[in-house]
Amino acid sequence: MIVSYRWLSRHLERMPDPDTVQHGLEQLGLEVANRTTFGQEFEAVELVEVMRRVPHPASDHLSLVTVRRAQGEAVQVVTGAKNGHPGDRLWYAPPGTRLPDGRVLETRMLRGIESPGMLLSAEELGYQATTGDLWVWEGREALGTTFLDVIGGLDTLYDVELTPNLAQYLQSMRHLAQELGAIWDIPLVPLTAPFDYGDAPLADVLAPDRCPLYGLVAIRLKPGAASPLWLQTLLRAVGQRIIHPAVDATNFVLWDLGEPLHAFDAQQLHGTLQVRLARPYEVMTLLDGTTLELSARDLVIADDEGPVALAGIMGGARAQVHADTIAIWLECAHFSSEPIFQSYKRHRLVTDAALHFGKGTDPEAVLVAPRLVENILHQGGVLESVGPSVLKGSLPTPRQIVFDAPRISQLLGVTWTQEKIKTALTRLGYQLTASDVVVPRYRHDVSHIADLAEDVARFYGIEAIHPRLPVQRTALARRDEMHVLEEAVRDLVVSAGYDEVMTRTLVSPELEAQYLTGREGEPVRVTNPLREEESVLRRVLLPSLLEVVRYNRARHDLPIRIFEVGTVFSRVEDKVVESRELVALLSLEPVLAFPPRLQPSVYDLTGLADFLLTRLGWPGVRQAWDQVPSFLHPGRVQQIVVNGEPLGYVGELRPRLAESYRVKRLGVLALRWPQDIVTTPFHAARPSRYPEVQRDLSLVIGPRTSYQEIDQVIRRHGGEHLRAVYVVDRYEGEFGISLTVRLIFQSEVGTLTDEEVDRAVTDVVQALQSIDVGLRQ
Amino acid sequence: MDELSWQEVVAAISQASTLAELKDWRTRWVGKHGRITELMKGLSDLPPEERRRRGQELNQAREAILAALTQREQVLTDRAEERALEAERWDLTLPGREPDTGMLHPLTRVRRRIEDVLLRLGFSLAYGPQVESEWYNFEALNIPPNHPAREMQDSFFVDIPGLVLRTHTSPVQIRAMEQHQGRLPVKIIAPGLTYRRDDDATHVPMFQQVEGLVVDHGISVADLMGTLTVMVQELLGGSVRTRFRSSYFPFTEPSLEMDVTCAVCQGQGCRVCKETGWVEILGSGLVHPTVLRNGGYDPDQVSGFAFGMGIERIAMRLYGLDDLRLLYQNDLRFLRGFRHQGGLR
Repeated sequence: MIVSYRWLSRHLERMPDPDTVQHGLEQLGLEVANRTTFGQEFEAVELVEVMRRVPHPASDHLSLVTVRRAQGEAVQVVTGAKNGHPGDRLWYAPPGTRLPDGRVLETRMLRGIESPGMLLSAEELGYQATTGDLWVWEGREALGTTFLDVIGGLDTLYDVELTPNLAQYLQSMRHLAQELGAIWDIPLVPLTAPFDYGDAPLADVLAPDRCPLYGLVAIRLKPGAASPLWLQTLLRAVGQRIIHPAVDATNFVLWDLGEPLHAFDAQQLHGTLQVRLARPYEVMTLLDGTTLELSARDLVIADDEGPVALAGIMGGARAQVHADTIAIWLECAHFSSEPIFQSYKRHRLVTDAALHFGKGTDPEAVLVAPRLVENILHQGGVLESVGPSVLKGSLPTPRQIVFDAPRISQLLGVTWTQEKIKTALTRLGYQLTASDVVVPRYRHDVSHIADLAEDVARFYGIEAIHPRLPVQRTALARRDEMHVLEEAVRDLVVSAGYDEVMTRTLVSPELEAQYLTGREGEPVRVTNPLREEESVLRRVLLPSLLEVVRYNRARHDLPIRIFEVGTVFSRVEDKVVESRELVALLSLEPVLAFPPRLQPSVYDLTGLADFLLTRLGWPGVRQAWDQVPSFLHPGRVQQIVVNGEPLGYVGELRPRLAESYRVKRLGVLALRWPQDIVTTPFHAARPSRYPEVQRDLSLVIGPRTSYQEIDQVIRRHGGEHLRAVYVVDRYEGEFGISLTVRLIFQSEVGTLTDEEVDRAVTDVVQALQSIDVGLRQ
Repeated sequence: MDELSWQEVVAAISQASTLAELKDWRTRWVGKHGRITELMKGLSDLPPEERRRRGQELNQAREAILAALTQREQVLTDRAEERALEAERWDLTLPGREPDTGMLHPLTRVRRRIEDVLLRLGFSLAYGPQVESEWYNFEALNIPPNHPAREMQDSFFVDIPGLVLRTHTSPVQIRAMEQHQGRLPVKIIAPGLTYRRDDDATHVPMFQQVEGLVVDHGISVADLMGTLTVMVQELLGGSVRTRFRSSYFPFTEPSLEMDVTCAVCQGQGCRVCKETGWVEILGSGLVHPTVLRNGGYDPDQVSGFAFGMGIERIAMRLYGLDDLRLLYQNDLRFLRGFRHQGGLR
């Protein structure tokens, strides 16, 4: 909304400077997005007098008009205008002038004669006048007076953004001035007296709950008049076009009081007007030419032949005011805001009237508005007579809130006196009774003491409140166990050398489909996605991370060592289950580096899995997977099972797929959180005081024998003193695969003898033979 | 003592240039069959007086030679070690092998910093679902259907009626109040993902917020301002200046926006801050009476404040970023850049 400094000043007894006004607007909670001036283009336009007018020698429709400027200088201008005779005073724009339509004037040759600048019509200045082609000025100002002077100089304009609550009552220069006057303690200029409505049978209200107050006034106009200059100037400044005196007057009241009025061409109406709900499928044509099919939810103004306006939103084409309209019916109404809001949303008709009525207007403006219009039309010489009128309905009862000054002080955290709070509320337009605050009828945003507190804060300025830390009973600040665990996983994986990434949870359904393990269930789909590639909530994290691989590999050759802990979604009937998943990816490529580094392998990921399970205390194991999904390498994958619940997998992506992301080989670990987290309790153990004995066994194993089996056999047969088993070497030769395992023996109660250890080793070797594992000779 | 006096032997030892030479000297003079050893064996043949004198003399010579040997040995060993180590010289100007640790995402680190400050102020952590009911996301927060404020937040809907991807973390306010079942104080923060149908340099469709809520007896605008000022100065540095402006959110009354001095111009006014010297950092206000009621609290008995801020905005401020999208691009060159100083905080 554009706020005019000049317009505001009409309502206040005194006016502070434009900077103070901007600060005041900001204090009221309006954001001043931009500040400009209006009128610069009129600075060069000056009053001149016609001395001579002769026909153009080379044209039958052009004339040469010589005008006198302030210093006596004569200028000859070529014009096509029919008027502008000696003695007439005109508006002259010299070369270099930029006109409101953007044209920059220069000296032109017209049919062989030089013409510097231009003599102007009212339209060329963006105004309306009734004196013919050129604007013949009737005022007594001296020659050389600029057009800017006659409109009262430059105006300052504030482009303000209103929050929805302020839009409920501040889309009005009067109300803005009232609030500014309140904070500056400057009185308002009194409004004109209310209009004296009659009781003529012009209109009926059949839907009083939607239209509590409806006024209609018949007015006759004189033809061929224009709106007063000051009004045109104000409307121009806030970006309104000058259309017709009757329309200009209603536009003025719209921005002045925030009250949208509507003028019907009385000669196009048949019978009286009814304010009623539309009939189902009733059709009307609006003044912008569009045809609308209405429903019983819409409120219309109708005459005997059907709707002539969509109430509070837009007039109909049939009774539209034209340039030659001489009789109008002026509508001044108060509509309930909520249905108007819904109606304009439904029909997508955003008009100034809808934006006012749809947010809330001041019912009291209905009483004053016709008088204001009458005065304006009279000043412009447009008013012929005011005819019969009617007012249906009554003003709504104002809301009341119990006045509790201590509560207001408490909400703000101040120790202001009751008097101080009273002052703020009174100056802002509230009335105080013995126990209550009476809320002005236009304040649709105020219903609770918190709203009053806000007004008091705005009145004195937020900076008048001194910040402090709350004084409260102490309570223990808690963390959430699930999230503590999630953060622990992040820290563990970071400590293992992986970088965290953060991807979007909305993914492409096709891409995701390739990476499901079959246990995910149905997806949750977004019904209004921005794009198809982001139309489902992901059920698995892997595709999102693979996209990160693709993005990076397309740009550089950095090794991939990334992870994410994120939300995955699934649907169980009409419920959405949100769970947590960890996915880590590791490119399994040689690392070219000096000093050299180990080439990453799937063992890094199986090791990471064990590291996580151990550190988290989850009783989990890695085990063979019967039905490996096709996106994984079938020979290099294991399932991760915690308490019998399959929670993830670790292994290698199918190399063909990895290559499609520009990586030769890619390792992957995926792990979900268990439903119920049961952690293995940890107890610290005192190390044995007795020496440990170490024995290495070099074993030869078959190609299908897993280390897991060997480990189990060794642990089962290694006796009570076997403390640990390590693999210290693995070698593949002609004889097959050789594994060297180191067994550590130690007793809690004494030093072990060689015989005791030998016996245990012999048992182990014998047991290993049963699974075809022998000692290497 | 024959051809050499023991002083001459000591002098010769201190000139020896190899350990082998020293060994030779040792054998010849103080070894099992060395000269001094032999001479000492012959002492018993001398008369007592003579034996004592000669014995003292020989002992003195032996001690001196042994000391010389030990000293020279140390010198030669040291020299040998020096030479050996010198031969092992490495070029340590070559790059070192840095520990293989990863980095948390900058948004995780900033979220943790925010959580840390607020936990220290006594806030508990609370959470809510990302796919939220329209009741929690809108109605309970005083945003009824067709309310103008619903236009402010363009939402994603899902194929389950009545559910929406939450447009803010504010629904956790209601959930937290419900969980407290009327107990006081309610003092929580709720970090989490939120969604809006927006995608440009300053908006991403998925982003992170931290919600804060305090409900208790006597909570005021002054408490809100004090808490947020402490939090923001702890996050952005004590020298940052703050101001509050009147604003509007459906779920707070009064509503305040908080500005901090522009990081680019330090409050002098520049293009980034539209010449005002200030940039908006978060929205806040006293909890709206309707919201308190929907959470099971009586707005005539208690009051509360709430705030919500974008984690990305704080991250951009802390790391001097001007494009929000970088934070979700997952470019490893960008993320690994944080291994430098930025990695500490």
